[in-house]
Amino acid sequence: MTTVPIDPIPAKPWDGLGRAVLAEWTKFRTVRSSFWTLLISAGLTIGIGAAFLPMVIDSYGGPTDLTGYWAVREGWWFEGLHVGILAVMILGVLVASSEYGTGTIQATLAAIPSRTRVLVAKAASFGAAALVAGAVQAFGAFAAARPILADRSIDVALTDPDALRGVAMATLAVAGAGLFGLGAGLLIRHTAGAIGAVVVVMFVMPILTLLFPASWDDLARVLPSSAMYGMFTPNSATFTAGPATAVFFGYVAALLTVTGVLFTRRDTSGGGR
Amino acid sequence: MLLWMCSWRIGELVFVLSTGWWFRTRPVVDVQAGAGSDDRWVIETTDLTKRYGSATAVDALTFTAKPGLVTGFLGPNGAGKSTTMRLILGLDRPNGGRALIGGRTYRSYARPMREIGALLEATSVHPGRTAYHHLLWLAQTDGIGKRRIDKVLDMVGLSAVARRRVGNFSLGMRQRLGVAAALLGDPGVVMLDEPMNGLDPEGMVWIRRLLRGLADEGRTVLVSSHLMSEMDKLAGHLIVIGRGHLVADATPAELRAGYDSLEEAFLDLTRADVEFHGSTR
Repeated sequence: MTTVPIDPIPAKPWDGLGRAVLAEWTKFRTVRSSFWTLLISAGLTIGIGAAFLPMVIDSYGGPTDLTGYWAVREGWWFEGLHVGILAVMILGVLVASSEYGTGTIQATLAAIPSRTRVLVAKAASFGAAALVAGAVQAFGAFAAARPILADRSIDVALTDPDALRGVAMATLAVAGAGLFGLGAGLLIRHTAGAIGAVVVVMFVMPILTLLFPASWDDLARVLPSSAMYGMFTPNSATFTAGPATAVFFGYVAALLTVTGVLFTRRDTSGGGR
Repeated sequence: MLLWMCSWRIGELVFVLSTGWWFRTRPVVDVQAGAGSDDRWVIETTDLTKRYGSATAVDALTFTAKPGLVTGFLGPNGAGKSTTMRLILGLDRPNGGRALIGGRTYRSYARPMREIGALLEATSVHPGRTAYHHLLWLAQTDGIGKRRIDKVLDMVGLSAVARRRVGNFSLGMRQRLGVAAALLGDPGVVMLDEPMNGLDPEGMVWIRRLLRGLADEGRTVLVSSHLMSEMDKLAGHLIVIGRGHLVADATPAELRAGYDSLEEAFLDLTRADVEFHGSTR
């Protein structure tokens, strides 16, 4: 009998993590919907933002210098980002849930038995894609806003630290939203159910907070949706950008942690469709 | 538009280059590593048990599949064949007992595709991805080179349709793709769940030769099937299960003794364990 060295040490999650990230990236880019979703969502974010900006300015109706001040502070050009965020979030859900729907998850976990490694690889590859998508959306929305503002004799440059911070925070918010969707997809494992859940948490709850009595303002502030919007469109109902970012990424980290623990323990045969 | 497409590829290139030190790609899998009979490639289950709620899918199942021959894995619908394979692959966790490959659990292998290649459900492929891209991401998980992808595509006869989306594939073509994926890492253990479903006559001849060839090279081949005449011809060893427990563990000749065919022997053996009965009127 030939002697074959057998490594008795079980595989560590970080063994081959780079290979896993590359494989997840390949999965992401070789499905048509990834590219189209990101392209269309960027177009909608920029287009809707540019369409709504004149209305926002007109409804404010203040003097020019104050208009510029508040536009920068509250990120008036990010009206369209709600749509872009929704699209990236749903794409994040699909990155995970479509594996259960199509059964690809079996091949994934047979190829990479470490659930932790699969989750980290998915988060890294899709997080990077969402970050790039977010940068395109945020910079695009700002760039589209500049000529509209210039028409009203308002000049806002990206060199303005507040404007730059807004664009950077919007980029981070899109990436965080994508990871939130990914976590929800891997947790719920059904595409329709997971999309429904993230839409309720991120887009229905903000509407419900409008019905809250004023004494609940502190509660409304810490909701994931308020925290996310506070990152790039802070106002009196949200935290300022810094704390909002910390709260929102706290939610993302918590969701990914819970998802990771369940992903490690659950059978692969659960979930689907 | 075109620019975006390009940036897609450039992004990938940057990614690959920047983390290049991480993937010390082994371009061609060493075929010699897969030759010669060895204990390393034994599949062994001991008192393997799996319950889903109150239903027992696999019931204290103990069997061994050895290198160098095709082991047929037989049983009526719902007997627990697929569940057993899922437990061997670590996809589901057993409630009791264990399943080992070469004395180790599947999950303990850092590069499992080089040890054991499996086809569970041929339909479990994203329909929007091409056959080539499906094999590409699988290969990348293990640093397997593109030449090996072309080789397995050639082996299963899908080279001409490699760039087509899997959604357009027939069941037989998906089975071939599943076999290609199983062989990607040139593993010493090959485990296929009903690989003959949907294959055309040429495909049946091909898979028969392929499985026999893999066994002759000293690999362990575990194949589930409902095609008794095929199993009779192909398998050197048969494991029959019913309602999750072992019914028979023998050679085809031993099982056939006293019966006209393997099918008759199988029907008689599993009579008490058939869960789903059809009717002709």
